[in-house]
Amino acid sequence: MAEKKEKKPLKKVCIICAKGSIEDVYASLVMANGAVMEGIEAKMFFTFFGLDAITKKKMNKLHTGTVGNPAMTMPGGIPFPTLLGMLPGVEAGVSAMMKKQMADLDIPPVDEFLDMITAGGGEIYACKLAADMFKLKKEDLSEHVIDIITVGDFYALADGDNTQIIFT
Amino acid sequence: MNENSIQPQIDEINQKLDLVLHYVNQQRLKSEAIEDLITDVSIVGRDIFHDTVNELDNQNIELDIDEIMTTKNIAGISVDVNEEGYMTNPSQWTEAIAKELAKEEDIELTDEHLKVAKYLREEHEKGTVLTIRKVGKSGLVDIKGLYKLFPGGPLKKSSKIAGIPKPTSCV
Repeated sequence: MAEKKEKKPLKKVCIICAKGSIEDVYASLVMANGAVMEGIEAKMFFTFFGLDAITKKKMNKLHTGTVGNPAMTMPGGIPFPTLLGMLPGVEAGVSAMMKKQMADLDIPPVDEFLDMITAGGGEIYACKLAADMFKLKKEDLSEHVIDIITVGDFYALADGDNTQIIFT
Repeated sequence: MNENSIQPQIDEINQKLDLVLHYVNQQRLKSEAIEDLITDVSIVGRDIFHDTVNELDNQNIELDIDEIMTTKNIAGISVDVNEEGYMTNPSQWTEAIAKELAKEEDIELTDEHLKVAKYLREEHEKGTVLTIRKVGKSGLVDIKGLYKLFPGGPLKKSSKIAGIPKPTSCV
């Protein structure tokens, strides 16, 4: 116990966002923003459906899945019936509600969140394979996207001591 | 010396011995009593501790270690601070203190910094949960500027210098 543990604070996080629903995208954004606010370098890599979060036309129109999500409850805590989630309009209502709840906590829309992260020195990258698959070009993506890169390039960004890769 | 004169001496010694024994016995009883007392008190103390912990748990009260404060001498004034150096009594804040606190963060305090600090103090007084987004929208400085003013901790460092508690928001 007398031995003092040397502190080795985190210096860099590389965050991979591979899903495009509201909660998955925000999990990545909050973690990246939280990192730059603590003075930790942050690099974000958007791939597959995560690309929606940095695609100009889609970034502020993300949705949440109402089907097959056992953690979802109705207001008041009653489990949300999956069948209800299949009805037209329900998904839009749930998504709107989630966005409102986040706005109440001063969580910005996706484009503004990217502004905040890059203002703090965070870097945004898109995955080449997924961009090719979805036929997206750099001009389709947010101006904050530095480049469309390969997985190998991304790993190269994750060099250095005290770096962590986070997959959300 | 004859037998007659020894007898009273022996009696006297016996008496003294009795006295000493009596005294020793008293000491023994006393230390026993004290030991009992210590045992009792520690049982009571342990019970009090457990009861307090349970009661705090029941009432959902969590003691924050940060709340336990110490004082620190900043710019010639005794200031209440928590373990991380955040001031716990915002009313003690002065610009001179801000300057000293900024120095600790390797920041040379300018009017720009002070404007932000004063804004944070006003908002904190109103009970607002502060975020960098709010500061960015205050019209004083944009978020990029805020990062420039307080490198490596836009909200944490500015709050510290403004003499308000450590921010609790994640954005």
